[in-house]
Formats: sequence, structure tokens, C-alpha cells
Amino acid sequence: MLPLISWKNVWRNKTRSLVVIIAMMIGVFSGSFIIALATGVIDSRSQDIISNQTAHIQLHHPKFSDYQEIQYLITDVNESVAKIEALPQVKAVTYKYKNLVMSHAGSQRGAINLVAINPEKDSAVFAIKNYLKYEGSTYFDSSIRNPILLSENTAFKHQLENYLLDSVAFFNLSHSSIPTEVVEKVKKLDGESFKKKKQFSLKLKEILTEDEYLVHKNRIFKSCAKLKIKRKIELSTYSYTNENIPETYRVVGYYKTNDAMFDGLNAFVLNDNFANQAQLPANTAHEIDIMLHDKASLDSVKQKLVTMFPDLLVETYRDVRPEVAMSEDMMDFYTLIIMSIILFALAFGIINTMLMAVLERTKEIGMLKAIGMNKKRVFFMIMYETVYLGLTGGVVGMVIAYFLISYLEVQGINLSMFQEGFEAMGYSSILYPKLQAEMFFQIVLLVIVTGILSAIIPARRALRLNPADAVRF
Amino acid sequence: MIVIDVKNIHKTYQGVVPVHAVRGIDLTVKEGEFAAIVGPSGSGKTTFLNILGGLDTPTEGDIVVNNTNLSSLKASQLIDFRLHNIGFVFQAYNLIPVLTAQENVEFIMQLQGKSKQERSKRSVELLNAVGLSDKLNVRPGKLSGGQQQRVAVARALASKPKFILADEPTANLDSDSTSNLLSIMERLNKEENITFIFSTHDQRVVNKAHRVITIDDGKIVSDINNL
Ligand SMILES: Nc1ncnc2c1ncn2[C@@H]1O[C@H](COP(=O)(O)OP(=O)(O)OP(=O)(O)O)[C@@H](O)[C@H]1O
Ligand SMILES: [Mg+2]
Repeated sequence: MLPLISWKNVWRNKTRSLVVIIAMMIGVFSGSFIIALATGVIDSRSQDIISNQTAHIQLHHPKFSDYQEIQYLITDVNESVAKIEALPQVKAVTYKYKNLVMSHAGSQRGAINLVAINPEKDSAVFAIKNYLKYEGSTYFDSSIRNPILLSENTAFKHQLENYLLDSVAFFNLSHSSIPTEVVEKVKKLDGESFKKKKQFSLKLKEILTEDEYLVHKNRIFKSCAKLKIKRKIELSTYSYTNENIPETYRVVGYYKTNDAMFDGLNAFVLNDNFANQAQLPANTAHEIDIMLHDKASLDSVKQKLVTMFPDLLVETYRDVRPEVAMSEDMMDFYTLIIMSIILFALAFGIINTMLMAVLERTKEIGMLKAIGMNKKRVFFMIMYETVYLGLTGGVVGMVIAYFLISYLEVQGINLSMFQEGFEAMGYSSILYPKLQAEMFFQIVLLVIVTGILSAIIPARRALRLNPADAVRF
Repeated sequence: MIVIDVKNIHKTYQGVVPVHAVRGIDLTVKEGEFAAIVGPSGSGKTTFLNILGGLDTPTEGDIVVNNTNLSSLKASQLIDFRLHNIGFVFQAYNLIPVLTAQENVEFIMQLQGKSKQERSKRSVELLNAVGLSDKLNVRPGKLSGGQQQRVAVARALASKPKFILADEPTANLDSDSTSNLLSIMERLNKEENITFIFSTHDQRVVNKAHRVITIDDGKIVSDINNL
């Protein structure tokens, strides 16, 4: 009876109640959506880092993480990998050497973090294979001697590109923001090609005014650049016996991930080639990477590995990348903060509306108390009404958020307008908002708590009404 | 049988200037009476009726209703006592606007915990008795003032109270509705032996009362049998 009367009372002042309900709906919807977006961003960032960089768990020589010196090796790698692969929670295992080497191509020099892998095993753990770019690029699927997989970034840094003014280049040019008169001038070079950036830039300076050249050169370079495989790059490393040994590698492919920083650092070669170059003992590695079937078993597997390999350092991706762990952990806290702020503000609207409703109904509530409605019933009548007012909008908001998020969780939101900015920070340009069941229930709980807490003030106000005063005219 | 027995009731409203609204009233009301309380504005009628109905407490004196001394009851017991023993009809705002006439009558029985069958049977009977059998499913907003007061009388009767208190029940009604309501109250009094105590300013209403109690300045100045 009371719940029904309260529900009908909600609709006595339709406009006023609707305003509160809609405000609540919008508040809860946008709060959930913002949280889902942030969770999506953070989650896809950790997922990217796990599948491209860290895997779930890594093993190192205890000193390797601090000094990254080439001699801090894991021994008996094949046996260890086999033992780890036998664990039921483990999906795939790979091992690698990692070393900072000096690079040299033409007149360009640099430093590269060289990752020496076993492609078959590595591709079962890491996703680099999916990020190949440019025609001819393969994932070590070639007979090239000493093959190396470079990032697009590193290739340009070492000026491995050549420039070809073909139809693709002109298509790129006319679809960039370069003014047509400049594009027309560049078209004079139709069909020409340049091995070196320097030659191309000299030519451009001839046909363009100085201003045009300075303003547009980078976009023109980008539009006309071509990366071809088999380019040479020389890498020199300190060997196991501390000699500086150079070796020439040839590009087998180019890759580009969502993380510009990762790309700027890392290049991949074959395990055996590097072991040869650096004269490393057989059956060794610097790192073992483990991918699990389910992230949930992270800690239990780590514990097991610690006992299995007492001489090695066992770290999860959360240990290796504390900033990822932190942003994962902060998300729960943010959910609470964001929703609490929104609901706190909305609670004032609810309380205010209900206080108005109680004051308007002084006589009616006085009458109800006079004829024998006890305090508990009066309290609950107002309580129900307030909770309905809060929950209706809250529930509708959650439902809308749920469906929109479920849809976008699959479809993604394309932010390629801002792509470069996002990728420079290591975030993917397509956002997949995500609302974990846990957080969903957390929000639902918060909405209910808000409804109940905001009910207390108006309900107590109704209790204070004195029936003898209320029924006087 | 005596339903109300009060002795030496005083009520002083505390304030900057205390108002001594009731100054020593003794009164006995028997079952089946049809009594009007009259007196000039501000004489203390409402104050006295509220005290009789257990809505307000006297500063002095005892009210015994149906052998229960109201001053011995705790606040929560008093509410329950009202629910089961006293019917109220106010000048206005008697009904819950979101409920139909029948639901309003059933509401008080629901508070009493009566069964669904009993509620719907009795509410139909009572609305019949006040001449509203065709308005069962109409909300108060769509009823005239007189019809609303008749629903209020039906509601007051629904809880089977010992007596019904009505503070100026006809004050907002035109003369037709007033005489209509009065004749319904009279009939219920005569046929069902329902005890009514009502205050009024309306001479025509006073004329219908069987007993006329006049209050002035918080005291009973006359108490006449009007049969
Ligand atoms: N809550 C209150 N606080 C202070 N004084 C009050 C209060 N209620 C009533 N009074 C005073 O008590 C006296 C009696 O008032 P009461 O309402 O009982 O008179 P009444 O006979 O019902 O008048 P009316 O015929 O106008 O309804 C009046 O002087 C009134 O001003
Ligand atoms: Mg009065």
C-alpha cells in the first residue's frame, strides 16, 4: 500500500519530478560513461603493454633489471621454458636476449634496444607480427641474412627511406593540408625518385619558395617517403667477453605499434644471429616472457614461479611497469570519486524537491497522522517516494549507459582525429569503453545509497509535523 | 454507555504571551449522542476538540475515552488509539488526492490491518451509505466539496470508531451540500447509533443537533438538550 501511494505521489507534480529524474538519469549516465571510457583507455593501454611489451610475467637474472648488462644471463633456458609451458595456467612462453646496441646507417647514428627473439615462440606471446607496415615487410619470413625488424620510426631516424614521386605520393599530397599551388609545383617532379633525403630536399628548395619549403617540407617528405626491405643497418654490441663487435643486418620488415616510445626504441633480430654476434653461450637468454590464459591467475602463477626458480627474479607486468599497475588500481578509486561527486550534487536536488513536497503536503501528512498513521509509516511513505525519485532516473541512466557501453565495447570510438597525440602517449586511437560488472554494481549501490540517504532529511521533516497544528485552518 | 468523560480540562499555549485557550471544561458524552459545539471564533472549540481526539494534550485535567485515560498513553500508543477508537472529519484536506474514493476509505482499514475482502466490502457499503456508490473509482480532485466530505465521513466510519469528531465539517460547503451531509450524519446516528461531536458556526447545523454545547472564552457557558 505505502509503496504504491508513494509511487503515485511522485507523479503529483510531474514536471518537478521529471526534472529530478532526468537530472539523475543524465548524471548517472554520464558518470558511468566517463568511467567506462577511462576504464577502456586504461585497460586497452595495459592490454597493449602486455601483448606488445611485457607479457604477463617475466623472468630475469636478478641483476639484469638493474644494469641490463649482457652477461646477466638466464641459463638452461630450454629446460626452464619447457617446465613453465607445462603449467596449466600458461598459454605461451618465449625467451629473448635484450641489449642496447649502437646503430649506424649511412651517415646516421643512434642507439637501439635490440630484442633477439625466436620468432615462432615470440609470436605466440607477443603481437608485433600484427603491426607490420609497408609492402614486402615480413615477420622474419625470408631468406635474408641477419634479418632485422625495424619500426617505421627508427627507419626514418636512420634515413632508410627513399623518395618516389608516383601516383601514391601525389594522392597523399593532395589529401594533406598542403595548398594546391605547392602541390602543383611538386608535380613537376612527377616520376622522379631520390635515394637520399638530402637530394630530395635540394630539389624541393629549387622549385619552392623558401617559405613554402620551410612550412611544408615535413608533410611533403612524409607523403613521398617509401620504405623498402633489405636496407642495411650496422649494429655494434659489446660481446660476452667485452669486445665491441659490429655486424650488418638487413631489414626484413617495418612495424608500427600504438606506442611511439616503444617504437622509437626497439628493433627485433633473430636469437641465433645475436648470440653469434655477441658470442653468447648456448641455451641462454636475458628474459623469459610468459603469457597466461587468464590474468586472474597472475599472482598465483607468480608465487609458483618464485618457488620453481629461486635464483631468478620473477616479476609481473605490474612489477615491471608500476605506472600501469597504478593506473589500474586508481581506476576503482576514480569510480568512487567521480560517482560520489555526481551523486552528491544530485542528492541536493532530490532533498530539495522532497522537502518542497513535504512542506506542500503539511496538511495532508498532518491529517494522515491524525487519523492514525504511525511515525514508521509516515517515515517510510516519504522514504519510498524519495528513493523512487532517485532510483527511477538512476536506473534508466544505468540501463542506457549499459547498452551504449555494450555497443561501443565492440564497435569502439574512433578518435583518429587526435591520433598522433594519443599514440605519442602510447594510447590506441580507437577507444573501447568498458564497464566491469564489479564497477557496474558499485555504481548501482552508490545510486541506491544516495536515494536512501537523501530520503532521511525529508522523511524526518515529515515526522516533525504536529498533527494538531497541521489540521488547523 | 459513556464514551467521553473529561474533567477540569485546561490548555495554555505557551508563547511570548501565553494563551489560556481552555479554562476548565467538564464534559460527559454518551454513546449515540449527536452533539454540536458552538461559540465565537477563538473561544477554544478547535483546541477542545483536538484534546478530545488525542491530537493535543491538555495542560491540566484528564480525558477518559472509552475507559482509557489518554494521558496514560505514550505518543505511539496514542496514534494507535486514535486509529482504532476515533473517527475524524476535518474542514478540508481529509483525503489522499492520489487515491480513489474507495481507496481512501480502504486506506484506514489497511492501517488497521483488515483483510482485503473486509476492506472492499465495507468501503462499498459505506460509500453507498453516504450516497456515493457511483463515485467509487473517482479521485478526490474530481469530487465536489460536499462529496469529498461525505467520503471523509465514510472514511471516519470505516475504522468502526467509538465516536466521530468533526471540526467545522461544513465550513467549506454551500447550503445544499451542508444539509445533504447533515442528513447523512443524522441518519447514521439514528440508524447505526454512531456518536457525532462536531463544531460549527452554522445556525442551520446547530438546529439539527440533539445537544448544543456553547463554549466561550475556554469555558462551557451552556449545555442544552435540543431534542
Ligand atoms: N497553536 C497555537 N498557539 C498559540 N495560540 C493558539 C494556538 N492555537 C489556537 N490558539 C489560540 O487559542 C485560542 C482558541 O483557539 P481555537 O482555534 O481553539 O478557537 P476556535 O473556537 O476553534 O475558533 P474558530 O471558531 O475561529 O475556529 C485562540 O485565541 C487562538 O488564537
Ligand atoms: Mg476552530
